[in-house]
Amino acid sequence: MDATFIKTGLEHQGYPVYEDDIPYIADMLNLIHQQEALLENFPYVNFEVPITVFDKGVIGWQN
Amino acid sequence: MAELAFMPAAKLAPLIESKQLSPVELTRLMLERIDQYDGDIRAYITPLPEHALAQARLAEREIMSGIYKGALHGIPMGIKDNFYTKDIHTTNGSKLFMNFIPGQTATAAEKLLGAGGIMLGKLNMHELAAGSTGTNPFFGNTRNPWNLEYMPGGSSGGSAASLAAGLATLATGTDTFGSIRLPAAMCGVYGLKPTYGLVSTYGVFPTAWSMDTAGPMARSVADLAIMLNYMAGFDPNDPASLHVPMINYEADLKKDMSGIKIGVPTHYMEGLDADVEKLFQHAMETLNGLGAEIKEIEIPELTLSTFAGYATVTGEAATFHEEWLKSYAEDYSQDIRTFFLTGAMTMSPQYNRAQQIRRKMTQAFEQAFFNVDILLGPTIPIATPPYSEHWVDQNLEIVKRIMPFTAPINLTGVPSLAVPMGVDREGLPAGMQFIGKHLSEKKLLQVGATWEGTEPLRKTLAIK
Repeated sequence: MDATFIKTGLEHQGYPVYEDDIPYIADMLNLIHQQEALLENFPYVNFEVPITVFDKGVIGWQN
Repeated sequence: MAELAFMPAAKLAPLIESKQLSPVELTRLMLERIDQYDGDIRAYITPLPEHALAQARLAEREIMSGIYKGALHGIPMGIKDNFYTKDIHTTNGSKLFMNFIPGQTATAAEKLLGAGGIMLGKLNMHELAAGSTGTNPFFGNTRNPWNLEYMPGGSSGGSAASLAAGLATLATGTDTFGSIRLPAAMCGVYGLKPTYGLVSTYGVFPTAWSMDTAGPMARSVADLAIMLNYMAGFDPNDPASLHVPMINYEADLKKDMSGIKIGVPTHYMEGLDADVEKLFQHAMETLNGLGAEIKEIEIPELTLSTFAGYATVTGEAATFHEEWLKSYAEDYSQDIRTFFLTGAMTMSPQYNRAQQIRRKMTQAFEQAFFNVDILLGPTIPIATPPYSEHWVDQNLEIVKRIMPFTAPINLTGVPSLAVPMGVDREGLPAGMQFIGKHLSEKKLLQVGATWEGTEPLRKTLAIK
């Protein structure tokens, strides 16, 4: 993951940027990206309904 | 007297009920031990000697006047410092909340204390319940009582260390991606990560809402069952709280495990340190000898645990901490700050994809439980390491190693019972986890109690 991309992304969102942090963040983003590639083995995951937070407190009539 | 400090609540309670043991004397013993040993171990952030003695005196008066509240009455316990405690500092292991004093007590802690539990103090933890080693630059690193050069694990490191050192009889923990189970493994104690929603997290600092669970930690399975009897139950203040019937978690502890079908996902046999692998093989043979039927099974969806775990935990944690990260970034340790900021740099589709994976993984677990009663794997793939001076790198590396072993449980919301499985060649404990279907805690405790009967910590690695 490109260091400039990370710095810009954080700055754009209003986070302070510490130079020493960037390699760690890059390492974790790379790991996530690399692991995401395993989704190739599960071609229809996009059809799954995501687990979402929609609890009883929101659906008042069920209480 | 020291043996009282290591005696389980299940054995202390009858002594207290029959007035053979004074809660005040027991509490005083534990406080003396904290005074004597906790300078080195750092299991506590805020010891509460006066508060504890006042609670113990009250318990004693009640018991002497014939009011016995049950198995927790007069039992000393530590409360992890991310559980709110009314009028008592609750730091969440963080500089950010160093001066925070809540106006209420977390539901789960309130239930334990309301049953007569004696709060010895607030327990140390990896900062913001988001790390796996037990380092804490603000309140001191917790040390593993088995060897002070080694880490206790995290984030409930103070909870596990206090139990291993006899500085508490019981302790609370929280588990978002392994924080009860991992330190239980490294310190040789027992910990239960309950079904998501079984124990209220109201009044517990969130780390990642959809993964957070609160649960019991102890030195025996029976003590976990006692704690869960009080901690479990519906809480209208917790949107995720489950409406389930109250059951007696102690009821099946004396049943054996003959005929129990145990599935070992091949995922949990990959990437193990040599000692962990040997101890796990030995444990499977022992379980077989106890009458369990063990077979390897495939759950391919588990390969997605690291992606879904990171995307979910960092994403939700970054959301909770966004404003503080922007205004007080220097108040975070570098390992935790970078972990959370990683969540700020993941994309919405990645987070949502992780939630799709969670449904798929949960379905895969349900399918597996058609064929087996429980699943089994090492709690973590690594042997307990000594602390490194490069503690930021060390924590982030350990999180990377453990995530595929611990996160699937939180991603799917199923319960997992962490038990000791032996001692490695360095003399440090290692652990394994019994994983069950949703709300199968009673079954897990039954199997765990049988396993405990083999005295796993006495079986050191003669397999050198």
